[in-house]
Amino acid sequence: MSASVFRSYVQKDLFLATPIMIGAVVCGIISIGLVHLGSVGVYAALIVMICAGASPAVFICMYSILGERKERSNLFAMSLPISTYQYVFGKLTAACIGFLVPWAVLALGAFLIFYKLPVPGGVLPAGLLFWGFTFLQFAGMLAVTMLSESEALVVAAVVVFNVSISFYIFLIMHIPAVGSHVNGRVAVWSPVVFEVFAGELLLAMLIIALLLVRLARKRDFI
Amino acid sequence: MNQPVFEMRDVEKTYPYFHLERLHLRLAPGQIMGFIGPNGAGKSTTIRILMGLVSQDRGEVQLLGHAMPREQAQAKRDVAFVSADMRLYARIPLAWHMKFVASVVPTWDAKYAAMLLERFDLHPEQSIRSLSFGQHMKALLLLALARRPRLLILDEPMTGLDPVARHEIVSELMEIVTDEGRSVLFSSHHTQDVEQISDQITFIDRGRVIESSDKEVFLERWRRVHAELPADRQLPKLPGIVDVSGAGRVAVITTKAFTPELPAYFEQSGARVREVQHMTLEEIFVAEVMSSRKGSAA
Repeated sequence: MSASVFRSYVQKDLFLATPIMIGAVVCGIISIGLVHLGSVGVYAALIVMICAGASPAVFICMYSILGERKERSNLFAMSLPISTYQYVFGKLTAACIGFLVPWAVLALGAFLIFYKLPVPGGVLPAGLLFWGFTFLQFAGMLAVTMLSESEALVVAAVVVFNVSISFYIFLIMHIPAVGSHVNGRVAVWSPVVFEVFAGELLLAMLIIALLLVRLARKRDFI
Repeated sequence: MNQPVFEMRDVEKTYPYFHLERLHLRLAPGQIMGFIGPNGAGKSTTIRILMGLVSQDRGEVQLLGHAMPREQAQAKRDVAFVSADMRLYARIPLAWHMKFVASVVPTWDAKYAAMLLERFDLHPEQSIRSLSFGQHMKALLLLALARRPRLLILDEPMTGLDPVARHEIVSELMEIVTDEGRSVLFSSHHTQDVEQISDQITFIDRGRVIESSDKEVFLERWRRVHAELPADRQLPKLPGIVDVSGAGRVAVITTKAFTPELPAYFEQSGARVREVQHMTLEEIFVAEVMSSRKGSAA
């Protein structure tokens, strides 16, 4: 595999995803500003933060992968000296970087803010789990978008994605080690929180690895 | 003999409603092949197999000496492909695309690209979204030509273009093909454009190559003979006659095996040959497809 060609393809996709990545970080910064506006502000900040964490997954999959396929720019990209496998591997790599960079920046920023500012931190473990869940959602969206030829299926995946957010929040609030401390002033880090978080990360990585294996066996790309 | 630019042997591909049947195709260096077929004939499928974008179910494909689709990254270094279906990234300027192609193709010729920008009246800072369809096609062609490829593959590049844009593109192609080392595979159903620039013609219909030959051979072999036939006489059954039509006693005989002796042969059979017409490539194409379909149905 020509490393420079592969790098150029990853850079191309990251360049195209830059507005999405910047948008997510800007949303995160806005949510920090909202925290200072009392209890309504904290609630609004949470909503904006959830959007900032979850939306890059949808935008990257819809624009960078589905959009390229739908607009037939993939035919242009694949006409250049790259193999079909390198092309999809490049897309996967760029999508992961495009999602994970704002994801990590926002997570780190949120934790620093909660520890530095006089705001209640009881919500942090739930926030961490939710963050892990957005990575899992991203992996699922990535798999559906890269494997499916059907736009309807991708739209259905987006619907499931949206619905699953409320359902997931409902679920984690029913984990005693998480739900009972959400309104507390201090974060309570139970081992359950780390186990669930690790499970989410592992499952997301497993989905991406299986996706890679499946794509390696794909024969037709157009 | 020179190694072919590409060779497809016994290539088959099956989709639910389409079957590419034991395809054989070969192009020698410096040659321009016009690949003609009706919509849905299998032109794009053939080209996508050749480019490694779709894998054949059976058969072998060699592109510039590389086995496809396995060695496509190496093969595509010297192959540029433009298709009517292909689109550039809409919200990004042409200059970015030029920089991107230059970063992955070592043979990129920046001087030639600048010359083509001028010739095609394109502005590098213009976003792709603001280009007309014809300008978009010219931009794609610029990105392909400036790579200085050994093989240029064009899949229906004239579709949807106005006559002026078509003329500009054909002129540019005529110029690049004067470079003896460069080969072109040009798929289209605009036979006029193909006729202008091709050395070789291949007809494909319903997933099957029905004829492949030098253009001059095609144009020489195909004729339309107008003959008057007395009521009590019948035309002799000759090989190569693909159609006999006409009104009254005047028969219009379409043949794919014309020889200078043929009119005399008809005269000997009692017919009076009124006219022998050359056929355009379009007429040959239609006659060949219809004859092939009749043959398959029989």
